[in-house]
Amino acid sequence: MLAASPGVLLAVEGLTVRFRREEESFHAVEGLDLTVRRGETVCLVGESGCGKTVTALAVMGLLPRPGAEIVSGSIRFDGIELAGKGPYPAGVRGRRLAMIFQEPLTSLNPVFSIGAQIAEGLSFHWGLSARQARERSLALIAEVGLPRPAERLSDYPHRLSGGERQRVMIAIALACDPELLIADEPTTALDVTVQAQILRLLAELKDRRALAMLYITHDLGVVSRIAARVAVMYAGEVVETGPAGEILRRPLHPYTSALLEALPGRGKRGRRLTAVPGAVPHPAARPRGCAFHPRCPLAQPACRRERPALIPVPGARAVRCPVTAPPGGGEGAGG
Amino acid sequence: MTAPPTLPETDGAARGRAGLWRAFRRNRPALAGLVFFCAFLVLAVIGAWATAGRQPLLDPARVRLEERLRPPLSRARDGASPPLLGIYLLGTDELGRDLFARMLEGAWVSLTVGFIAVGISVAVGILAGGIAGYYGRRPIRLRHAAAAGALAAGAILGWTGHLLPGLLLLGASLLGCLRMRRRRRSAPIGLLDRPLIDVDAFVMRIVDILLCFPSFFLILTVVALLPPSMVTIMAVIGLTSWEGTARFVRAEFLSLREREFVEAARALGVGDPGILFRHMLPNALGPVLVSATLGVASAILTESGLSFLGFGVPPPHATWGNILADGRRFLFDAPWLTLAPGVAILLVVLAFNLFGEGLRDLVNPQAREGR
Repeated sequence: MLAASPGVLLAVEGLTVRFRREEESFHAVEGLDLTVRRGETVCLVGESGCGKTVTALAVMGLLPRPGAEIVSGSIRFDGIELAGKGPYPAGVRGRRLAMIFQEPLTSLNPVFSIGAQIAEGLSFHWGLSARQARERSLALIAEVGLPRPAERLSDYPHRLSGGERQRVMIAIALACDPELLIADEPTTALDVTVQAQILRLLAELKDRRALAMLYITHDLGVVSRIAARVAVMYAGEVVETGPAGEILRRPLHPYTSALLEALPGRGKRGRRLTAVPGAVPHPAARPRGCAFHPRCPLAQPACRRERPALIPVPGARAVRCPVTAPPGGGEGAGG
Repeated sequence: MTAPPTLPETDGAARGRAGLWRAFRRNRPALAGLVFFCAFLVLAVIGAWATAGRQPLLDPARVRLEERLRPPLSRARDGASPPLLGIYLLGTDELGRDLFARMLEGAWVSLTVGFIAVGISVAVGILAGGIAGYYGRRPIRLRHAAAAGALAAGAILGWTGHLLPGLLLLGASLLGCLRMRRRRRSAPIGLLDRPLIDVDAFVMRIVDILLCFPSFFLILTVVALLPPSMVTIMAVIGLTSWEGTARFVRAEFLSLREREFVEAARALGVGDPGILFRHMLPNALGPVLVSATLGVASAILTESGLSFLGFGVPPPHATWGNILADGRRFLFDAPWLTLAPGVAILLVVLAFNLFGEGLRDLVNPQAREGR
């Protein structure tokens, strides 16, 4: 196994996930590269159906079976191969690698109290006694900012609001001190003010615990608030990656530009927001050549024929578009 | 308009056990069912204790021919060996046996048959339905079938006296199973890896086949072939009544499987058995409990029916069914002989049904507070 470069916690290389459903078979994720360093927040951005969640599930080893399988590529977590043949390695999922989901309303088991659900991971992974687990659960509930932790412990999920439930989900995920937290659109189902609170909480926790985070979202506004680096996905591929600030300021890929155009913001007051024309292609009907060319304002004849590669760009960036990549920027970039 | 019922507590209702009890108490019929069920339980236990042993307090088997067909509450005549307190509480039957003592003994039979049969049926039903619902579309491959076949063949060989080849075959197939587990995701081995049928279809088709048999006649046939005893009756009733449980446990699991909290539990690192039994089962338990209580009622009915037909628990034991069967001939001369077991069966079945309904409301925390 290759020695992981220092600081890299999660390294996904060339990940390809195939879905098979009766007759049709398609690649939901194709040749995806992604790295998350320790303590770093990386955002995975894209429209629905572009393969963000599939990537997360592949990392967690939770791809639906039968139906989906990892065809090629590797996922290494701190040097441990997660995408290999054979069962998912023990002691990683839920312990060093945790995940929170989009729907806090239904992600908690309705028949167990909050305390029981937080304690489960603790007794399961750490072998804590009921008392120890209770004490730690109290601390965790307080840490995620729920008032009156002692009372919350014996409450059932249906008594909590959406934001409170997402806080509980975060507490459950963080119970065993994971090194990497995968957050799959954790604020999408919440209203805007609560979204902001949850984002603030996640940012705080990240700083306090030196937590690495893979944050999946379709909201570029969220990206600007928490991400250090960002990877933009389109139709199962990363089309642009690099430091978040740079990409939001000077997007290279036409898709990223289009997403930013569609975002309300300062300096756009009074102007009409532009929508990206068309819709994301279904992975089974992926266009030939560049997947984005049917919707791209800069499309050229070559885009229709050749599948572009990810071209490194100075400033630790890369873009999958030969049209907009700055010329001669070949070698100086790193992934 | 009628007056509004007492307002449910708006705050902090149903917190902890006390809250559960408070919520349950509001449901009057269920409470009545529970009370009656407790009374039945106490009576059955007392009955089991009072009618057993060499010189029981109440002897259900003592024949007093001079005291035949005495009506309820009649005093024992002098000379006859008197029952407890000297009164035939429920009268006597055509052999002068104390009906009260016989009813008590029958209560214990009904209770154990009901509970153990339902225990068997619920356990089998949950297991079958749970596996079908949870593993669903995963295929059973040729090698699985081969291993199962070898296991069965080994067991049969061993059982029929060919001990050595039987044990050898058993051991070999067990080893094969273990190896299979370890190399689960290895490269396919051609023919052996061929999928035959998926787990869900396999289990549910068995259920469909079993449901095709009219179960009472199936039970009658089996009971006629096997030596009559309480254990046989319980096992047979249990093993012929799990299909309903399996069906809705499967249905529940099919929908539970897709719920996010199951995904979340998996993300927490919980394994298949943990998810199946700890996370999903409690969510499906409401209907299981309801059907189990209804099942107790129907098991008691089935046992009574079998005893009535003479296929039930063998004669020295009194059961409500055979009391009823014996009393039928004296329907007009001694109606208490049919009334007592009939009413007892009715009340017990009713109590279980009411109690089951109440439980169902209770298991679901949302329904509990939603009212």
